[in-house]
Amino acid sequence: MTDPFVETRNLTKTFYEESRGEVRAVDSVDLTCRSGEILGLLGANGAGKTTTLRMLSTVLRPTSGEAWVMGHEVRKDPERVRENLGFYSASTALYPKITARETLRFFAQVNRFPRERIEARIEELIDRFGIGDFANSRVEKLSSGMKQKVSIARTVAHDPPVLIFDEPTVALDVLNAIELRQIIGRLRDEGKAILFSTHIMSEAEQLCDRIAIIHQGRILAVGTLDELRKSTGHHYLEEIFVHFARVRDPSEAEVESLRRDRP
Amino acid sequence: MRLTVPIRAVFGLEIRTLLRDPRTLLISVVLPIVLIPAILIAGDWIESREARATEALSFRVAVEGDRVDLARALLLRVGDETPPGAGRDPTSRFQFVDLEEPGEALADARIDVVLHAMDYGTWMRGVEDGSVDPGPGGPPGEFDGAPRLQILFHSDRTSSREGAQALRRHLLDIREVRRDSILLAAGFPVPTDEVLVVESVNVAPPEAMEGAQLGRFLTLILLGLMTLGGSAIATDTLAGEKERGTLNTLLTSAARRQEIITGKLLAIMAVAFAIALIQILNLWLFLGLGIVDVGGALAVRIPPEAALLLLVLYLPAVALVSGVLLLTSAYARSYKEAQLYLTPVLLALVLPAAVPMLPGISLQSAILLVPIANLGVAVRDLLMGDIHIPSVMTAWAVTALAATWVTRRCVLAIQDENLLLGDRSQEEHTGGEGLFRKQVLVWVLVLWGVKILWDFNIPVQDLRWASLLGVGLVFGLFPLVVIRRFRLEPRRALALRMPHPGVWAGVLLGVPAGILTVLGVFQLVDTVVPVPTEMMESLGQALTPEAIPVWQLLIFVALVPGITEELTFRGVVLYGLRRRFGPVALALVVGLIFGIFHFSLFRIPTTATLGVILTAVTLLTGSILPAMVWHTLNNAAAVLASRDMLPGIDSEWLAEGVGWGWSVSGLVALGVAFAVIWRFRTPYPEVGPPRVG
Amino acid sequence: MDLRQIWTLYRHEIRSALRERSILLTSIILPVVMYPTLLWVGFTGFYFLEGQAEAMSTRIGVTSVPEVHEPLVDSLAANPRIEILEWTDDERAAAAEIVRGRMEALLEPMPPRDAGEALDGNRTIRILYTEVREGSRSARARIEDVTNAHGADWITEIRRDLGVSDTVWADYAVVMSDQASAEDVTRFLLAMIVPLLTLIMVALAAFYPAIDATAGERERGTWETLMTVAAPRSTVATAKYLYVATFGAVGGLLNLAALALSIRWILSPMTNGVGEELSQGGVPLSAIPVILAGTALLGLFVAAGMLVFAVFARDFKEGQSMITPFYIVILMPALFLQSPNLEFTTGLAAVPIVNVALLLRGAILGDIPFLSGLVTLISMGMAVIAAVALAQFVMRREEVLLGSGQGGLWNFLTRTLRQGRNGS
Repeated sequence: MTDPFVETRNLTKTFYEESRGEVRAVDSVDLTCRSGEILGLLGANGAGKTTTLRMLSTVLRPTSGEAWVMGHEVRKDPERVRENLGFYSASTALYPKITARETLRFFAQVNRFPRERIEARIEELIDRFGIGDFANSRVEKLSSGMKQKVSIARTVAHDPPVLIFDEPTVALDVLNAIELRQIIGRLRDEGKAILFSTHIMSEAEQLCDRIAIIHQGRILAVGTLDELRKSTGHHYLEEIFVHFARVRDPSEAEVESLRRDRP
Repeated sequence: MRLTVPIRAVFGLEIRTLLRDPRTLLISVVLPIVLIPAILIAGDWIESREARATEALSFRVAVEGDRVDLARALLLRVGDETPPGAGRDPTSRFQFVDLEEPGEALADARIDVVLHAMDYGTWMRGVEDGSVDPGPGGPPGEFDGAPRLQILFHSDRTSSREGAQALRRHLLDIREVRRDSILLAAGFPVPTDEVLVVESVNVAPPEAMEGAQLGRFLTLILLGLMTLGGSAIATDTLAGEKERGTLNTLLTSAARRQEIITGKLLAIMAVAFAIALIQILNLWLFLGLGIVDVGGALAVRIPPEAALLLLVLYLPAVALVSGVLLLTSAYARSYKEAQLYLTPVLLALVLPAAVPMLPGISLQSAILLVPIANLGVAVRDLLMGDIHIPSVMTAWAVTALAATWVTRRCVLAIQDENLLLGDRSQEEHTGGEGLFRKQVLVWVLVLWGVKILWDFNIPVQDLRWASLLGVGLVFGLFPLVVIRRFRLEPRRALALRMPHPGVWAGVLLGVPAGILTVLGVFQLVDTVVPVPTEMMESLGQALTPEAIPVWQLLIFVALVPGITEELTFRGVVLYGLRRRFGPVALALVVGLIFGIFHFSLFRIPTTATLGVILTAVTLLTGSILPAMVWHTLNNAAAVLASRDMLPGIDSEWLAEGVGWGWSVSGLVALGVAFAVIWRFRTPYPEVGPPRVG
Repeated sequence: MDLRQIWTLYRHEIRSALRERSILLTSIILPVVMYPTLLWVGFTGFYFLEGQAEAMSTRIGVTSVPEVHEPLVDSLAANPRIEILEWTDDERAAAAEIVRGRMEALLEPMPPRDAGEALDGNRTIRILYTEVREGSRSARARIEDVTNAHGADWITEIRRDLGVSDTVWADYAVVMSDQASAEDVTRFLLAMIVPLLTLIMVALAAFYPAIDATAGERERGTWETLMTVAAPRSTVATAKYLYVATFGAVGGLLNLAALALSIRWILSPMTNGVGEELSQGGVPLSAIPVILAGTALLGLFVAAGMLVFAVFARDFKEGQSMITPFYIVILMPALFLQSPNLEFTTGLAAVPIVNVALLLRGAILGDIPFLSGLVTLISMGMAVIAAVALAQFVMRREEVLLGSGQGGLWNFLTRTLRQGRNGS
């Protein structure tokens, strides 16, 4: 087997809060993600999904542990890490005053995509994501579905081998969410390594090749859906999740809160 | 530095965003273009209208007194006595009115001026019984025995003030003419105004004249316009991006932080330049067309090579201004917050640019170390033909260094997790100590504001009351308020613990050593920033009102501040800041805060030094008590020395400056004192940022 | 309208505003920190300059002086900061030295001109200096003063020899006597400054609350919540309006007070410490109710005006750019208030804003024409009612409430007018 595109070892992030003291948001996380694979990070709000992914995208510095993207370590070589990844989340917005085409050009440029191939790449993206009709309209004038297309196109503008989707469907309606999942699936088929975080069980079931269950900063289990079913004896991911969460921390209240988080 | 593709992309994005935002353009470009000339035109118009109105004023004058005859003779029979060259007959502006009670009429503004003409005797009797105002400075001896023409007026009324001045000039002119005729008759060969004529020759080259005019406010105008222009884009850039979520997107791209900041900084600088240029062209147009006249000062011609030199000189200033604006934006969490910080920031940037306008500022002074202000003064000097290359280069380097530092802070700020993620903490809701630690600096600022307003507006003559209210009450109340408001534990917040007994030996040695050190600092200050004698005297006098017995002085000048100031600074302020800095930085910061509460530029370095020493003692002993004792003894020594009550020490010697030898010995002794305290140390708990991980 | 409900909503607005960091900053922390800071800068600058001036020594070159006029040089030399240099080189060299700043001025007695020749020993005192340098200018002034004093002494000497007695010569003395007390003068200056500042401060203090109460609510997403409460929209609008007016008036007064306490020292480096003389007196007590009433009127007007503009904004930035033109327009009259001769005529009393400023000026000077005061009240009252009516009209419209309106007030008005015309 080839080297994984993404690998973390003992990745840990601690925050200090005046009232609570030290908080381990991410605690010794080990993950790998290979080419052509979607690794799902499944966990409740505040479980540490976003913090993990932000460390991978070098926006946050790990307190300890290591993480590599395409062989580049996040602390030692953050620029090369970011060159090799595209990050998409509900909170990564687009610049409102520039057009869709300009958006793609801008992100290709800042991500150091080879200059001579930029224009061809833009046309390719416009074509592929069906942006043609509104390529020259300003982003602020687009509908949310159009914005989503442009947003994904800008994520892959520099054709990175690794893609991170941090709760991408949170603010989308059903149809847009389905379309997004289809696009992510196609990207996987092209050989990208994809990290996908969600708190929606069905989404993880449908899309992910492997699922990592994360709870209170720790990875409780990683495996394909079948492996997880086998090891727990439960069929539905929801039950599997509750099983692990209870093993780790059997408080009813938390389970209750997890139930409430279901859409 | 290379302009990489990402830098250019970020730059282009910023410019494009601004150009596509018509409202911002309207406010930052179009509005000033219309407004600035409008204000100038209106100001011009009002001014000329005022001047014409004053010119056209005529004054109602009432004449009274036992020498009305003299007054009337002087004022009415002037046809042949009007001094040559006096312009239009000044008497035509005076209307004489006869009134029973001229004084009342003057008070009611029915007339403008009363001319009270008296014989010398009447005058003297009046002055003695208080019915006549002797006027400023009392009666001049030269005029003993001469009649008095007293002009009564109301300086708070324009017509009265102007009338009085016109009348006075007129009377003096007539006297001149009369004197000349007396002298000429006696055989004096020439009119008095031909004696020792003063002929002033201005040797300044004309371009230096224009340069000096321009140089005084060029920096202010340019930087003012640039700051306004740059802020149009700066507030929106980082703060706005945080708000819109685009910063998240940008930060996950492969652009380096340095590239992002450079691109944005260049964009701000470009916009600042462009807007300043547009406004100046606009103004120049108005001036060129003669629509606005500002005394011709702006119409100075600058040759192209000089303009280029100015550009190079101003470059670090523009970079610094843009950097500060960007930094403000980086620290703000939203556009709104950035906008709020803008007023104080603009002020802080524009104030140094106004320094060249002050009379008597030289580049070879402490001002050389103030960024922006130093370049402003350098430009002013250059424009008037003074070129002192080392100073100019130093000024340039200082400002450039400041700009680099600010840019570096910007890069760090967009990596700062707390600033990026927003406030994660819960203190706003729970209150308590955590909240106090966050807000302590704001509270200190407010206390500072209150204290300065108090000190400058409530003059208390009696030193005892001044100390009790201005020091005891202010600094005694502050810890109480803070402790109550944030529910702090008093013993911990005020560091009320017993230190190791050995510490006291160090304190006893430290007090005199500290005094010598502080006096050394004062000498140092005097060489860098000369202390005016007035200030020196008031510093000396403050301690020694003879009327107050020494024991009272010791209480009010030594004990009260020794206790209350410590409770505030080494008590709650230190407690609130302890987590933010390591011990060394903490001592410096608390010391400096203590210093700025002593307001005067010349006292800040010395009191800050004392503050650093006292904070260090508190940090080493974990207790406020040694600092209180030290502070009290320090002030007591000053009181006793000023009264010559310290054996073997002459107050003159202290006031004149003790000399470098003594200061250095003091510093060494201080080291020894600290060694003793170090030996018996029980460190202040929980100092420094909490370590994570 | 239910007053109770308005009161409840009003209290809610005030409470949340006081917890809003930005508003607290502009209306409270800024006045108690910023003006004192400026005060400190002024104070420090003043003493810094003083120290600089004292450390500077003045070098005056002097060419050969006839014996009669030596007292002139002696009195210059008596000043410890003046250094006298014997100048033997020519004038051009001296000029070069002066331009370069190595010497402040050259005193050169020359043969007298024209009529002056007839007096034995008379000279023309030529002073070389440079207008560019502060030090040189003051050296020139100093020499001129000393020369005039010496000239007077010399004339006295000759006059006595000629037998003209002191009494005849003295003729008469002119003495000035200012009947205005220090308080009067202070009051006069305050009357120039206070109305202007009140206007600026009220507008400034209402600025943020106005945006916060409209665009701010939309940004936070609480606007729709508020619109769905059981109170009628006019009640909500009234409460908001009163809140903005309160902050405008109170914040304005606070700023004014803090500035008033600091202004003397802020100006001191520019005025060479003249500010110290202003320490006596202040705003007369009788003027305070008028100032309060005037501030309240201003607050009510400005708040209504700003709300009308801000209600169209979807976010803070938009709100800011929408209000700015209004802000500038109401500050325009300030230009004309610079004129001390502007009289509070009945005609001017009909002009909103200007009339309040003149009212405040009159109150401080203790002189308000009754008719003008009355007209001011009526005119301002009408302006406030008009502004409030417009605000109510705008806020009743659905598209404005939902924030889907395109553009600002101007677009809205033209659109509404067009619709109105089409409808009829």
